[in-house]
Amino acid sequence: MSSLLDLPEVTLDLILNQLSPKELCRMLEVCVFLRDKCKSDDLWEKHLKNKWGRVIGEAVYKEWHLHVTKAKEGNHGTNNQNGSFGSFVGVWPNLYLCSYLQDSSLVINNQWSNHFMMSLFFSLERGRFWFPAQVYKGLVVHDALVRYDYESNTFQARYQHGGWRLFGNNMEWDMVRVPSVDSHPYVVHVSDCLDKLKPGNHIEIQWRGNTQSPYDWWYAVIGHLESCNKNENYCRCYCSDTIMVEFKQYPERSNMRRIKLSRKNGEQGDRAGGFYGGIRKLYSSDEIEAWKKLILLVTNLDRGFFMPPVAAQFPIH
Amino acid sequence: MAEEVSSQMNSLSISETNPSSSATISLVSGDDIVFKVEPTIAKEMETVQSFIDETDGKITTIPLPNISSHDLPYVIEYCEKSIAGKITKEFEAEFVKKLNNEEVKELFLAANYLNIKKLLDFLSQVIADRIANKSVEYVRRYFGIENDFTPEEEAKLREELAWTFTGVDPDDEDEN
Repeated sequence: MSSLLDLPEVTLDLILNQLSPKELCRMLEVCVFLRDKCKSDDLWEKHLKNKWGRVIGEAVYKEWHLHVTKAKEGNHGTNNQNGSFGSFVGVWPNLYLCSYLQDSSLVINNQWSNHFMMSLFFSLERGRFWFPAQVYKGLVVHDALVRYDYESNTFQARYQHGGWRLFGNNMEWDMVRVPSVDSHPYVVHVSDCLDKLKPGNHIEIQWRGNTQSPYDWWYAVIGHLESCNKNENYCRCYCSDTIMVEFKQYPERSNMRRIKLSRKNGEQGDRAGGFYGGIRKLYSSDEIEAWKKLILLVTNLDRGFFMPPVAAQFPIH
Repeated sequence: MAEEVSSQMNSLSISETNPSSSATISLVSGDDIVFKVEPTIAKEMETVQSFIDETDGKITTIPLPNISSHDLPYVIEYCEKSIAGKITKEFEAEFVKKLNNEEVKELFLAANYLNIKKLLDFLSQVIADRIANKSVEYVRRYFGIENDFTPEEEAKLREELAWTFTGVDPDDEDEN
């Protein structure tokens, strides 16, 4: 009887590549050669992308790299007694926790740190890794730390607002997304689309109630200025230094529906109305459709369910 | 099974009397049985094709010492279908039904030796399916592997694996 292990490694990989995460774990137990082989990043990267690609972005890989490096250096577990570890950015009081690993001793003791993709896969799978993601809450997107619950196949989210609080349990996969920008949530997003914004464009805009809070993202559409007759051929709104931002979830006559902003980068607003940060133009129809579906869902569910942006109640003139 | 193979061999030997036989290529199995095939089929087998190319097509008899006369007809059948563009899910399902575990493995090794990309891809999926949900011991037997872990290594591994899935399904009954 011939052994499949006599095959060249690339050919053996053909078989291993077809195996599910569960099967790969079983292969680890077969022999020493397969134990080492079946932990390889090549095999696990695909599974990581398949299962987690929808909710993890570059930031998660970066954070995991940090945890793995700390583990290798033996610096892990110094934060507190149970070996949990968090990583922070920013300057006090705007410190922002980027990720959090529970029970990092598992990473150290089992040399998982030598197997980047597989260890990331299982710290996500087993809910030990609170990773950075964005979470839909009503009609707002919060930056949050999220962890997976494998029993219910849903997520839990923690959101920084003053202290940390748990604000979501049993969140479905659709409610979690990869962060849309690289900068962390205390920083004004530098928009590259301001010059080009014109009526009809779908956007997300940063907003926060006070300067000690992180920004959230709101969905809006660019509207016409009051002075414009809304005739496509004569509309000059795209030339104006002012843009009209429309929150479509509010009724046409509501004073929460529109806000005028300067067409410039940097935070604008005040303590009464809250502060607007950067704008992200939405190009992908998937993203726009997701918002439209959500608006329909939330507004039908309960019109009083979500908080309007405070600023929209006090338009800036 | 033996009947099927011999009937395939008959149909192949008939082609010997075919007027176009001068253009055919002879594949010689490890147990010295000659299989005449169309040159187009050789194109599917990278190893054979590069042999032909290296000799400028002068040599048309190719020894394949690593492949038995039992396995070669299957390989040829698959390549013929592939050239005709007739590889369907139904064909593959029928094809694989005829093969026991040992034959699948032998064919995989043959496909590897001949470097037939499509057959390798197909059979790797078949093998993956056949070891799915099987016990570790079953996989060892299937792959022809001895357990080379020390008791310490095994204990360590169990500890590591506790970190992966919980409630792993109980192994299926072994069958072979």
